[in-house]
Amino acid sequence: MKKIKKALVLMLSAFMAFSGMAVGCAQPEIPNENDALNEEIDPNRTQIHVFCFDGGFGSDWLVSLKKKFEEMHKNDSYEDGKTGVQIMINPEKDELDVDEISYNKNELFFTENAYYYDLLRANALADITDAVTGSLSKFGDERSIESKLTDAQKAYYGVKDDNEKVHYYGIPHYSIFMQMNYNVDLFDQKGYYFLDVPTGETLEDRFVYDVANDKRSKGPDGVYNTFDDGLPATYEEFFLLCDYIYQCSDIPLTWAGKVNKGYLSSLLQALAVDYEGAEQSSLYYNMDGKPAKNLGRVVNGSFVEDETDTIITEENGYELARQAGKYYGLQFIEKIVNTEKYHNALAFNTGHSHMDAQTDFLNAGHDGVTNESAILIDGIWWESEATATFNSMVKSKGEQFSKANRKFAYLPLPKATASKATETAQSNTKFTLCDYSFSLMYMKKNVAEWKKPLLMEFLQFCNTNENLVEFTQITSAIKSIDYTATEDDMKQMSHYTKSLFNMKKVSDIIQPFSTTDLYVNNQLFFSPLESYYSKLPSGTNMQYPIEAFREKNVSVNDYFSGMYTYFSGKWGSLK
Amino acid sequence: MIKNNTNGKQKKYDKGFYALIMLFPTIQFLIFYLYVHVDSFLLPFQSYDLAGGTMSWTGSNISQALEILFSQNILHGFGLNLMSYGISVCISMPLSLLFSFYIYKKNFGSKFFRIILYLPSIISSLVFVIIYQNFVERALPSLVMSITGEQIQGLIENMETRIPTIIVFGIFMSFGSNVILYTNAMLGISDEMVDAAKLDGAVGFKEFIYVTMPTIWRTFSVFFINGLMMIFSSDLNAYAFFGQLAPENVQTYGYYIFVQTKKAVNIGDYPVLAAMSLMISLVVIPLVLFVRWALKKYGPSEE
Repeated sequence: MKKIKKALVLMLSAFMAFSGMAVGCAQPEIPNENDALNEEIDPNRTQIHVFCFDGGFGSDWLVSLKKKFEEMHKNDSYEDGKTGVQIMINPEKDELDVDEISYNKNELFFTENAYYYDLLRANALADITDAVTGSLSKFGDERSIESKLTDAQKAYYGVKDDNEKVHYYGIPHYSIFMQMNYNVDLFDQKGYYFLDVPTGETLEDRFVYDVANDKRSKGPDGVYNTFDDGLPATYEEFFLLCDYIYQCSDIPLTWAGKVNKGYLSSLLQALAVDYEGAEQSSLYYNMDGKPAKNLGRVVNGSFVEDETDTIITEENGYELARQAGKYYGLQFIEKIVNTEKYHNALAFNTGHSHMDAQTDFLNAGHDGVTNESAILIDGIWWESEATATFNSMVKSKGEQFSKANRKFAYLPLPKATASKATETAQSNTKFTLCDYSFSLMYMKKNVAEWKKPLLMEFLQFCNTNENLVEFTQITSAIKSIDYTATEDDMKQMSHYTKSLFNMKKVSDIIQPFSTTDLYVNNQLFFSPLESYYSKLPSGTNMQYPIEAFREKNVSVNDYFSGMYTYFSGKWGSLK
Repeated sequence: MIKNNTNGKQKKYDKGFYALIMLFPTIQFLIFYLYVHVDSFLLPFQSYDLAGGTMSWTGSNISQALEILFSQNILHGFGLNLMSYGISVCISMPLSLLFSFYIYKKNFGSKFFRIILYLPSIISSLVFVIIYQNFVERALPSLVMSITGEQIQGLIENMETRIPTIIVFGIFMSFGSNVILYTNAMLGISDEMVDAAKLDGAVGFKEFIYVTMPTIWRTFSVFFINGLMMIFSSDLNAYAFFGQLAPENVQTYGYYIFVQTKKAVNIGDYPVLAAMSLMISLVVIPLVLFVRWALKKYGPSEE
C-alpha cells in the first residue's frame, strides 16, 4: 500500500512539474545573452535599471548596447566610491499600468502599447528634451534624435508649454506592421513572378518561365527594375498568383488559426491604409477639416464613390467608415478567408498558434510531408520570433536553412484596382504603412536629478545611427525614426530584413493616433482593431469581419454598409 | 480601594490593548473594503474628460450600460450562461454528488477517482485548457483522419460543436472543487447517525437521500447559490481558450466585462463597465437572497 501511495505521489509530482513546464513553454525563449540578463548588482558600479518589453523582438539588442555603453563608461564615476556603469535589463512581457511606473524599480522604459498622453497626464514621464534635441556627435552621429523624427512624430511627441517651447517626454521605439511575407526561394524556384507581357491565355502563360531572364511586370510600385518587379500589382493579380501557386501544388497563404481574427483584421487595416494613403488615413485620427476624397456607398451591389468630397471634422468622423480602402480591403479579406484553396488547412483552428504557423511556413516542403508554403501572413516580428525554428532546422538539416541563408521578404501590398495601380505609379510615394505598435522609450519622472544626465545619455546612445542599424540587424525589425544603412551594414542583415529596410524607404508611415480631444478621450474606440465594427443586418454588432464572412455568411456589401450604421450610431456617445 | 484602582487601570489597559489590536483590521477594512467599494459604486456615475483633465457626474453611463446589456450580442451570451447553469445543475452537480458519495463510502477504486477528480483543482486550469484544446483541435481530427481517412474540423473550430465542447470542459473542471467540498462535508457525518439510519433501513441510495443530502445541504446550497451568481460573471473559460478573440457566440457578460476591462486604455474606459456591473448586481443580489431563503426554508433538515 505504501508503495502504491509513493508511486501516486511521484506521479502527481511529475504531473505538477509538467504543468509548470507546460505553462513555461508559452514563455519566450531566454535570449542567448543569458548571463547579461541575470547579473547580480555590482556594488562598485552605478546601476541603470531598464525595462524592456519582451515581445517578439526579445532583449538581445539591448544586451549588445549594454555591453558597449558599460565599456564606454568603465572608468567614469557618477557616485562616490563607485566607478563604471552597470545596466540592469529587466525583460518583461507584461505591459505596465500608468500608476505602476512611479514605483517600478526601472528608470528607463522601452515598451509598446504605451499611450503617451495618458502617461503625460499621470505625470509619470521625465522631460528628455535635452536628449532629443542635443547633439549625438560624441557618439559619431551628426544628427540629433529630433532630426530623425517625422513632422507627425514631432507634433505628437513634442509638447508645447505656455511659452510655446517644445518639450519631449518620450520618443518612438520600433515599428510594427501586419504584413504578407513571401518565400523568395520558392518564388525564384517556381517562377511565381508575373511576366511583363503574358505569352498566352492560360494561367501559366502569365508567369515567368526563365526566372533569370524573362522580363517581369512592373509590380505594385508601377516602375521597372525595382525590388517588386513581377510581384502582383493588383488584387486581381494577387488572386491569380494564389491560383497559380495552388495549381503548382503549393500552399498560397499561411496564417495562424488561433489569432486569425486579430492578424487578418490588422492586414485589413494595412490594406485600407495603403489604399487611402497617409493623408486620408490620418483623417480618422486628426479630423482637422480636410476633405475625405474616397468615400462611397454600396449601390445596387457595387461600391459607388461620392461625387463630392466630404469635409471631416470631429462632428462627422464616422463618415470615414465609408472609405473606399476599407471596402476593397474587406473584399480582399473575404476572398482569402472564404476560398479554401488559398489558405492553410489550420487557418481557423484555435490549436494552431502564431509560432506553429511560423514553423509550418519554414518547414513546409522540407519535412517530407507537406507542400511548400508561399506566403505567411504575420507581423514584422515573425522572423525574429522564429529564431528557434531556424536554429533547430540548421541543427537537423544544415546551414542552408539558417536565417542568413534562406530568403524571405516583405510582399508589397497590391493595389485594389488597376486604376489605383496606375495612380500609384504616377505618384512619388508608392506605399503607405500603418505602424500600430504605440511603442515608446522614456525615462520615468521620479529619478534622482544627478542620474538624469546619465540616463539621457543612454537614451541618446540607443538612437545613434550605428545602434539603430544594429537593432535592425539583431531583431530583423525596423525602428520608428529615420536612419540609414550602408552597403556593409546591409550585408549583415537577412534578406527579409533588407526587404523591410527597402520598404521603409519607399513608404509613408502613419501612426494611428493624434492629439485631438476626441481622440484622447476615446483612445480605445480609435484603435485599429476597433475600427471595423459593423452592425449586421441581423442586428448583431460584429467586431471582426473575418468571423462575419466565415461564420455568419455576411456579404462584403452588408458588412461595409453596417460599418457606417455602427459608427454613425456610436459617434454621439463619444466623450 | 487600592484593589479597585488596580482593576480600573487594568481595564483601561485592556481596552487600550484591545483598541490597538483592532486598529489594524479596522483600517484595513476601511481602506481595502469600504473605500475601494465606495469608489466602485461612484465610478458608474463618473465621466472623465482626459483632454481637459476633469471629472464630472453623469447618468449616461447607466443608459449606455443598459444598451450593451440588452444588445443582441450579449443577450445571446446570457442565454449561453443560463444553459450552462442548467447543465451544471442537472448534470454536473448530481454527478459530483454521486462521485463524492462513492468516494465517501470508500467503494472500489475510490482513491484513484479521488485523485483524478481532484486534478482540476491541483493543476493550473490553463494547463488543462492547453491540453484539452490541443486534443480537440489537433489530436482528435488527426486520429479521425488516420482511422477513417476523413478530414474533420477541430471541435472548437467547428461552429456546430464549439459550444458543447466548451461546456463539457467546464463540467469536467467543476468536478474538482465540487468533489473536494462535498466529500469533506460527507466525511463530517457521524458514524452513529449512519449506523442508526442503517438500522432504520436507509442503505445505499436511501442513505444518500435521507442521511447524506440533508447533512450536506448547506454545502450544496453554497454551490447552488454560487452557480447562480456565476450566471452573470462566468466566462465559461472563453478567455483561456480564445484570449481576447473569442467568437461572438461564446461571449458572455462575464467575458465581455473582463475583456473590455483588459483592453481599457485609461480610466475613461471604466465607468460604463462599472455601470454594467452595478446593473448586474442589482439583479443578482435580490435573486441570490431569495434563492438562499428558499433553500433554507424548503430544503431538507437534519432533524
